[in-house]
Amino acid sequence: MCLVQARNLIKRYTADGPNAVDDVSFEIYDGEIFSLLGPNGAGKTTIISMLSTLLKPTGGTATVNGHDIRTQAMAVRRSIGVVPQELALYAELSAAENLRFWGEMRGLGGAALGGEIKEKLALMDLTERARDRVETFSGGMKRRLNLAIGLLGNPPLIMLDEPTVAIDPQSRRYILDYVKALNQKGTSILYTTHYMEEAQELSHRIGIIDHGKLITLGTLQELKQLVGEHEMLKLQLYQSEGGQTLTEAVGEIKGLHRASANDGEVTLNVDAAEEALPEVLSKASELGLSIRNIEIREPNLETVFLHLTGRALRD
Amino acid sequence: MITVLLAMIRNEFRREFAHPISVVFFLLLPLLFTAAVGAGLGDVSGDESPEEYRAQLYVKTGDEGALADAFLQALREVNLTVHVAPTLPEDTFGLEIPAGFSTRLQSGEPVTVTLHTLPVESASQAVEQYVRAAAGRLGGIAQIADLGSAHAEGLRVVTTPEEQRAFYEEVFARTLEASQDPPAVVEVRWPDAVKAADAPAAMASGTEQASAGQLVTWVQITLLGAAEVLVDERLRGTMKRLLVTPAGRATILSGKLLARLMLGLVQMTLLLGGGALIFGVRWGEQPLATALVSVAFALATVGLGMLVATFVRTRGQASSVVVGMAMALAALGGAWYPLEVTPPLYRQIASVLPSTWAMRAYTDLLARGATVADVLPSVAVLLGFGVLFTVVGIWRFQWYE
Repeated sequence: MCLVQARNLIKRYTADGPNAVDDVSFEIYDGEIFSLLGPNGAGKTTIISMLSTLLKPTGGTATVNGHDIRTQAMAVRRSIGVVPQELALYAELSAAENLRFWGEMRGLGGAALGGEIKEKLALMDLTERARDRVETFSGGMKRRLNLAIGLLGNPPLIMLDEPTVAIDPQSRRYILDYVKALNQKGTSILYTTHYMEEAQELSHRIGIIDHGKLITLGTLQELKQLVGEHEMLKLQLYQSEGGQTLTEAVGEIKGLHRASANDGEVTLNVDAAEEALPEVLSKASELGLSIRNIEIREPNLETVFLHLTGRALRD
Repeated sequence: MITVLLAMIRNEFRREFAHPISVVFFLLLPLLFTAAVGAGLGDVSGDESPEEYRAQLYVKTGDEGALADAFLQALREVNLTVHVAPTLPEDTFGLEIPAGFSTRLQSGEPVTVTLHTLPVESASQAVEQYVRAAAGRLGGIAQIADLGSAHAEGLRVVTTPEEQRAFYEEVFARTLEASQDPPAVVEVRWPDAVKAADAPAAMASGTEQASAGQLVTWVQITLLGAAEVLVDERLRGTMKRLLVTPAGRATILSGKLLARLMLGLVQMTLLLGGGALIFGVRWGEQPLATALVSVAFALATVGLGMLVATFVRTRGQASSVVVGMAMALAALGGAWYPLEVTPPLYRQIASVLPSTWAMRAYTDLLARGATVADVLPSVAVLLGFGVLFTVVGIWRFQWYE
């Protein structure tokens, strides 16, 4: 069953401005984790904002759980839980008070809400801090509470907007594991991130987005096939200005599909990294460039992004 | 919808009082300021006699005659507390009655008394008026007695100096007694909107003025705080989160404003109660009239708070504007001193402020025992302000950046 169906979504913030979201179409199926992967400013949050009825699309439309986001906003909101990128919490209140208030705003109450507050606190390992003010929490604890609030009412679709930004590895692991567990219980998830590893680990399907456009969409395997069996060779130079020169110098080496430079970091998309490496080092030596670090990667989402956009994901 | 509104009100109260220090600003400081300002304006508690707050006048007299005594009595009767002393203190009002005061008056000669005043404009003006009034009354009586004696001498009713003096003193004493109950009196009438209260005070007493003024000042800070709350929700992202709940925008905005309104009304109730219990303030004859004024003022001010939220972008801006505006509105609206003492232009400017109408209504309740019908015009104006501010505020409102 198709839980989300977006058709040619467009969002323009000003009449003569660029499209923040440009003709984006995709589906999210029941029980699926669907990730939108892209750099900051790609349009991921704007898509979530439109699907959650916070923003009206400039063009196109979408349905969520069968409800039109333009005409059936209330029904859409009852079908979703949203975990925003910012920590949308009342820091002066306790974790339990925050959960109670947001639960009441979803129409929950009584013993059912009380039970759900206990359950969510336990799930996020916050039971012992339930009565403490949120302003005394660590960043990771606040992130977990931010997530717990989005889960109140157990809606069929959860939208998570970069839920692991700026937190410690332990809390990040906690959140990723919880997202997987939640999905295994049947909840569908729309997950946005600019961390390739998270999209790879979590997603059934991934949409790669850049400059407002959904440039490709598919399973991890399908996306990897877009770049064939290419490997990625990354070199970090001591000379930050030498990256572009080296990129131009290695242009003719055998098996090279794409080369890009970002300051002192050169990324090469090649058939076999180990075979290409001696020639690349030779060219660098000829140019008087010193290598700080060499990294060889199997095909992954970053190589896919590089292949499709000509830029590294974090550029 | 009701459940959601109640949840929002509860949440706002929890947030407001999450830190105990809030109680200081919500209740304790307003009461302390009321006591301090009330003392400064003239009295502290309604339990104390007004006698203790009459202007103090020290008198050094070089005359022991009957007319000097009559002058002292006249001074006491014009609302002055008179202390006869051999020397005059420098820090209070003093009056010197020269030697031969009685004799010279009786012989129809002019006589001069000297008033030592203080650089306190309002009080010194009042004391000067009181002394002039007493001297004028005494002078008038002396003139009558003098003219009477001269006429009696002309008619040969009295012939010897002893008879003349006795006649003079007789006429003087009778005229003095008769002047206690003058045939021509002034009756003070208020406009139709105001009726004379049990206590016939034209203006609110010091404590009443301070209670109403401090209530208006501090409650404005709470109610205009709607601006801070809305900006804060916008900046911390909770407004966006609220908007994706099934509550709906109208309910969310109503909930935010209603919660602030309730906070303001609770604070008003506590300050009204505190004023009555601690300072003995009698908030009018009809509780319904007081309630109507309070609710209308709260609606106008919370609407203004919402309007302010559409002009400010940061928490710092919101906080500065709220406090600054509350202080300015209070000062201009007559919350810190009666508008009766301000120039006409000032009063004209003040008449377009909700705080002025609130203070006007509270003063009518306090000093003139206004009824529900009496305060309806002020209530209508305040509700008009509320509708205007809220409509413009909604029109300009930005839900998020």
